[in-house]
Amino acid sequence: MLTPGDFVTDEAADEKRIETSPTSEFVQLFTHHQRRLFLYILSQVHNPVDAEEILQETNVVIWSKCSKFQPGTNFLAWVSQIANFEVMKYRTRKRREKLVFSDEFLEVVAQTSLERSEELETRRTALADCLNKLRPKDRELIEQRYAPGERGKHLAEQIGRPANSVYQSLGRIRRSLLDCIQQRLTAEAPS
Amino acid sequence: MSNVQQPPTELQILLDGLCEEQLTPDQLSRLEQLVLTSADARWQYLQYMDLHGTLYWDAAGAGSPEPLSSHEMPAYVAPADITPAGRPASKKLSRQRMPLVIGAMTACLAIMLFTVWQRPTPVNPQVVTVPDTPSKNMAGVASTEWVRSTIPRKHGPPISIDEPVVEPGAENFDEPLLVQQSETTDEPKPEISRAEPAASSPVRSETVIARIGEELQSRWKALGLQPSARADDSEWLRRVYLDIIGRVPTVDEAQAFLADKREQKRETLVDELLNNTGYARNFTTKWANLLIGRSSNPQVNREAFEKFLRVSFTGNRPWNQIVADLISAEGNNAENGATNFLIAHLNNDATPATAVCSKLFLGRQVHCNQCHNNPYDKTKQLAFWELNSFFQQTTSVYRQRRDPNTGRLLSGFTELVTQDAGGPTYFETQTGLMQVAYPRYNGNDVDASPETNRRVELARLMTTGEQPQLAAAFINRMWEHFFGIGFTRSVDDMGPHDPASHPELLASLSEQFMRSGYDMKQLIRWICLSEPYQLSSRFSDSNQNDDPSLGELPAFSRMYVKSMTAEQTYDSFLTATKAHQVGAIDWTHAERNRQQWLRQFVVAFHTDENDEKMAFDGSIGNALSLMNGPLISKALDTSAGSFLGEIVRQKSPDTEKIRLLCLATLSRTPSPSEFSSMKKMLREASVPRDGRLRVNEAYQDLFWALLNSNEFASVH
Repeated sequence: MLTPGDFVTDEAADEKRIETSPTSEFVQLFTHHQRRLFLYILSQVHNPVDAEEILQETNVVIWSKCSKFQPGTNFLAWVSQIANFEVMKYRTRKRREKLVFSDEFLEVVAQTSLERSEELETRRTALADCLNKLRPKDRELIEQRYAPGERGKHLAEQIGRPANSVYQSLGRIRRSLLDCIQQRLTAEAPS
Repeated sequence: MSNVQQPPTELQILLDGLCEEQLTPDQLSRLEQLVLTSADARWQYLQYMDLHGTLYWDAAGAGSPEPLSSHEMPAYVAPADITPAGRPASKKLSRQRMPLVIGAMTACLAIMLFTVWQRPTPVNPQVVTVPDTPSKNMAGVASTEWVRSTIPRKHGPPISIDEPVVEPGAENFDEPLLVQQSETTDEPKPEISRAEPAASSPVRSETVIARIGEELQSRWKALGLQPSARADDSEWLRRVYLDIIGRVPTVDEAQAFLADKREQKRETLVDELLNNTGYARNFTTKWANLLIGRSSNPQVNREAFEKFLRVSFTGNRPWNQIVADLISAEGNNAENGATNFLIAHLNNDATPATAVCSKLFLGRQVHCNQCHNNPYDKTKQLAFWELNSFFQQTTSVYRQRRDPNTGRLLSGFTELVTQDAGGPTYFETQTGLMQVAYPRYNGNDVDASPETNRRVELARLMTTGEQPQLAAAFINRMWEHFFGIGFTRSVDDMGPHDPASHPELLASLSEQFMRSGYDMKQLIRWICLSEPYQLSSRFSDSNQNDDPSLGELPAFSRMYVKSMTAEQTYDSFLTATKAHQVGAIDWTHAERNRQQWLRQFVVAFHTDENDEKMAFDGSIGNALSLMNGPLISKALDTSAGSFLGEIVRQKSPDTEKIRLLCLATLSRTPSPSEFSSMKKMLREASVPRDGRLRVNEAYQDLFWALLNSNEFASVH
């Protein structure tokens, strides 16, 4: 179990850590879990930009702690604890200016997220197919929405549609993607 | 993928708001509440966030079907052929994400470089591009700017973000709840010269009221009906409070009226209620729901719109002037609240604006005419587009400004503007023929050149002088408000296909209404003092057949029972329980709480006509929310200062306490048999041992039962 004390970054401790370099297995696990970790953090802070920032910070800590990871144990569980701590720091920083969820909320969401992480992974695979099934117009809209540097409002301006209608369309597309994912999983599930 | 989709649930609406960063703090806590209380909602939340995050991470379309399975760089960059539109999205994207992985590698190989991660001390340019907001991505910004300035807009001129923002008026809403008439000074200025209605002779209220009675009596006679008995004071009192000010009377108000021995007390009460701030609030709620809907279109400033209505109703502005303002309003939607009506309906080439104007102001549903002639009456497709062409110069522009220091977008406002555009509107007939329509209303052609402000012309044509259709539509709507059903089956579709139950009365009331100068308060006085409004909702021996719900034409020989609207329920709940004594000090705050509570019942259909459904219909869902929601737990609080607590602690006999609770909820004293069963319950609770607590509980149970009774939930 990690405690906040583990994260004291005095220089002596840093030097010690430098001596231990991560194994290739560790590197692989790390890379493999980047996206899932990002999604985990996102479910706690709900803003992708912030989630990405927290991910960066979390990564730094993960690397500094790499020797503490015991191979064979649950990597995701381990890194998510580090992420929890970074989320906490972020929340203390941002509480005044941003909408943040309550601690209780974070706890239950985190728990469910970890419990069902494999299910979420399967869903993500289905998503790629579902995106291809969207009507071209819808796919274009969702691509524009998520293109780097885009936000919903600007999008409405750019394509000359009222913001609320773009907003509604995006909602509809998201729901149809979720429906599609659900259908695929139901179809694939062994009966 | 199927095109048929269920309307989104409340949770889905909130989750979409979350994805688009549009949630208010209240909505966020509502979302939290949902997610915390249901495992299903939790799972849905995660699905949404996962979808949102994955799309963000992969920048949609580049979504590699493989999870990140290897530490080899190429595996991370999605193959270009998966990018559906074939544009170089994956490249751009990978440039953005790569630093993450590159950074990871770097760190892995030389942990010494840790400090590199601490922005902004870049070492390797590729590593530096770790964006802290997406807009810092160079490529992204460049392409964004380019697209923004060149893509032609269908509606309106390009939006300038640097536009100076006018101080939004929305902040000036701290009107206290109890100040009356103070708003009349900032009454919106009428922009259109209006011919005074032909007030040849003053309208005599007694005559109009008597006429209503006579018209209905002659029908009762013809049908062989005996009207129901006159409603007793309690029944009438509760009804008139709910109908005029949208809530039940308080215990004090009820006691005062019941004890009043004067003959004219009903007249006096109607006048008092019309001068109560609740009058403007109630009709503001009603008309805001009709005019802009309950679901919040983010561009609409509901607060400003409600202020416009409230000021208008408080000052008793003539209905035709209000309509003229709604149609011709221009400018900043925070400053000129009336603009929000059209802002809410300009989508889809203003076809919703066309349909809603016709439906609400003229009592004619024309939305079918958008595509075809009406087979049931004579309305033509051309007429729809002629009306529509009045809105073709109009557009709404969202104006926003960036904070020069932080680069953050500040909250903006919407402006309703009229452009110098002229010419016809094009539409397609069912046979595929392209046709043109020029602005034309009720046989009057309007100059179609760009110099004409068409909406001002429409307002003039529709609202000045004698406008029987405008008047009749309003009369029908108000009659429905007070009697539960209008003169026509569908209150806003008064064509020849749906003949009025009392055409002469409707015509005569419309006539008098025009002669009174479209005086809304006067009209309400006539209705509330008329004979049918005095009748009980209980059947007489011979009027069981007078039941419009069975498909009969209404004879108004008894008061039809209405169910409370969600707003009436909420406001009555607060009146009866004083549960609102927490918080709510000014109008805006109280209104926000109310809106938040109401939101749970609204389902918006994202259709061309901006339809929505109020799911407040006595369903199990909303019954449960009333029975178990936070509102009722506040209401049942017996701590010091709470309404129930004060009553329970009173040094008075149980019968008195029971009487007060019944007055608070039902505005009446209980019948002897009700008294005895309630007393019995309380007696059982006060037997031995920690009796004190159980008595409290028994009172809580009693109050709970009263608040959840059918009698409480209906207007009768």
